[in-house]
Amino acid sequence: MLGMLSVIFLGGLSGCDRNAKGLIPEPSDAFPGVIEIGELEVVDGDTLNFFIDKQRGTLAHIMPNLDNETALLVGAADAAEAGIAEGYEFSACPELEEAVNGMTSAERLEWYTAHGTLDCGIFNSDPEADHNRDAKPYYYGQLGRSPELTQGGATFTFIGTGEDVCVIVDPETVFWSQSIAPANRVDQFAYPDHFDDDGDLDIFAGMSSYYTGSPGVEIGDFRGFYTDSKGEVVEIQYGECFQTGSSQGMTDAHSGRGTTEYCTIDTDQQEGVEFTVVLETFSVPLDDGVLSFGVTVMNERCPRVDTSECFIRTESLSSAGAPRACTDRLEAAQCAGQLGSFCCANPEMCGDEGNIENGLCEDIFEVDQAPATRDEWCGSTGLCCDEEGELEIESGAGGGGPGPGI
Amino acid sequence: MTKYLTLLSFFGLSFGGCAAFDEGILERDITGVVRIPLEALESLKLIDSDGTPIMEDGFTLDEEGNPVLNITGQMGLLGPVYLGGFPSVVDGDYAYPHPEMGPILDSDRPGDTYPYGGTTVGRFDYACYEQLRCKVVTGRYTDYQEILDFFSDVVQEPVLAPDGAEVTAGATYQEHCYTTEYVTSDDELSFVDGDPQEDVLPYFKPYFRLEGDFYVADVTIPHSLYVEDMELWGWVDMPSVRYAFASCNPEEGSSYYRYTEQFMEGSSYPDLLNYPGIYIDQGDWVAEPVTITDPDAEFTIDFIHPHED
Repeated sequence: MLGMLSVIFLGGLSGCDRNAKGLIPEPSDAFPGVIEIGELEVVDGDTLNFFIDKQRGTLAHIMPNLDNETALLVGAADAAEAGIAEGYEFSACPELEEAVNGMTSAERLEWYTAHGTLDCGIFNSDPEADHNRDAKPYYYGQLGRSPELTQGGATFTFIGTGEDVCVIVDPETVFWSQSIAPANRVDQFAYPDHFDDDGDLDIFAGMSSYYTGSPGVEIGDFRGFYTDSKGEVVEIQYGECFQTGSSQGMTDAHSGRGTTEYCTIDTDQQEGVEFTVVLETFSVPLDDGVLSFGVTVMNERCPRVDTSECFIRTESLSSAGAPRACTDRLEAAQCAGQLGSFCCANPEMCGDEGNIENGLCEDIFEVDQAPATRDEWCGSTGLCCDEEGELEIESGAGGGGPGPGI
Repeated sequence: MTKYLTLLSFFGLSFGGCAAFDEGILERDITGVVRIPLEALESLKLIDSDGTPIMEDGFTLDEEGNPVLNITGQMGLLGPVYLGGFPSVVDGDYAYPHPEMGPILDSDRPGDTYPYGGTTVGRFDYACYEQLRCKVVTGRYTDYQEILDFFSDVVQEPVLAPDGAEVTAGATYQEHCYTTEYVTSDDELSFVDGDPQEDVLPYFKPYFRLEGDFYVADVTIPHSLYVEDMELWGWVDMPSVRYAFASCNPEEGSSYYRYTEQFMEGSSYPDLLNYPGIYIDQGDWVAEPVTITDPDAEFTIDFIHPHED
């Protein structure tokens, strides 16, 4: 009898995931835990608009899957075909128009990376040269889990402009806490999030001379030590990436999982000085053990930049590096405040539908503030995964405001 | 008998062990005296909103400029005294002795002084009226009437109630404080103290007394890191000609909200000892540094360097 009980007890113990290791993704050979991205350009919004053929001065966004089929026309060629030149247009620079006319979005990015300028004067000074040291205008990447007891993450550099710059990173995908209030339910968050597809990266940044890590090998920090004249040692934080929380008295504030994180870095009197940005891995998605992300550096203060989910789009990538199906629509729904309706329409993109309030999805769809069916809502918003074609997302207000105007 | 001897031995040993234990704590309470020369008040000038002098050469002035009231006994003219312990104090960085600084990390700020510890003799306290934000310092007044008289006769800006009426009676002031601050005794308000010499050792109440040519106050720097040959240094924030203080921000502190009144109650800046050079301005008096070689010995620090911009 005692022996049988012992067998049952030991069997139970060995079957339990007593230390929760089963929840930790396995390290992957294909996706290292520490990567070095290289140099990112401090880019302006109009450069990003050039890639996606949007009018200069409009709110920009980036995406990993640029169109590689549609030839984009500029200047006289565009006017001749469309009647009026639209999309991205150069300001009186026939040489640049001739150089990029007929390129697809993907080809424009490739051309820009090779030439590094959209400035007419700089381009004409040497049309064959690379004018920005091969710096990338933005980057999409993937990180695996780092081995035990080591810090994982990505690093890149940028060159100070002498002005404020904004570093923005968006880890996959979208996260929200479910609204479970018995009264005054918030429909946007009434459906649970799919927890396992979210990752989290934390930004740290400072002058490269203060960085203690080895790019691509080991993640470091920006801590230094000052020794006063009596020999007392004080730790100094040389990091310059102060986020909103830290300005309100919270040090080391960071965004949570699946949420854009950004900070303004003042490079005043540091024009030409190299800065290092560290994206520390805080959590890796549990579903595939790979953390996808998008990152860019804008030449503006962050409050003047769109820092919503709809700025860095479709950062959730498959193991092949391709955008995961329908994640662009999930982000668009988040920006538009339509997560509740989106999840009811596409339950495979969200959390456990067994945990939603009874009847939530029966009357949640609205079109023009009137009750609608799922199909009517899908047709109106384009936010259903089974819809054909590419989602048209209108850029929203800057500074983290709403995304698409749907 | 043997049993009793053994017990006694244990008893004695345990006492001996307690007495000999050294916790090795480097932080100490450093106690001494601050002294501000009488000249700090005698040289003070105030003007009214038209620019007409209302106080100079140690006296308030009437409309014709005649001396009226000797102000050497008006402790309300002494702003907070900021006192810190630093690795060293050096000449040359500013027009006055200033603590050594660490590296400059922000182009808008000097280096941090990384003080070992510090305290104040008097601090700004919200004194129940919006008009008095950043103008009333603890340890300067024993009762409400003294505050009213000071602002009426010395600063010559009488205290006004929210309805615009002048507050003339200390009892009215007290009732207003009790109503708006939700208190029922003066003990709950820091800016008045009817018993300033009360023994609260090892600390001291922030009250000055006039001794010869100096205003003198006892002070304790609590729980300061002690490093041999560290230097004490500080300054007294004296009022500007319009009776304002550079070390206090009226737009910070607790928020006050009552009926139609809504404002911040004011607060001193949080990094005064870290970046003193930002806050020391015209008319302030800076200390001659004092080297501390024995944390148990009482120090005397004199604030004898007037700062002229």
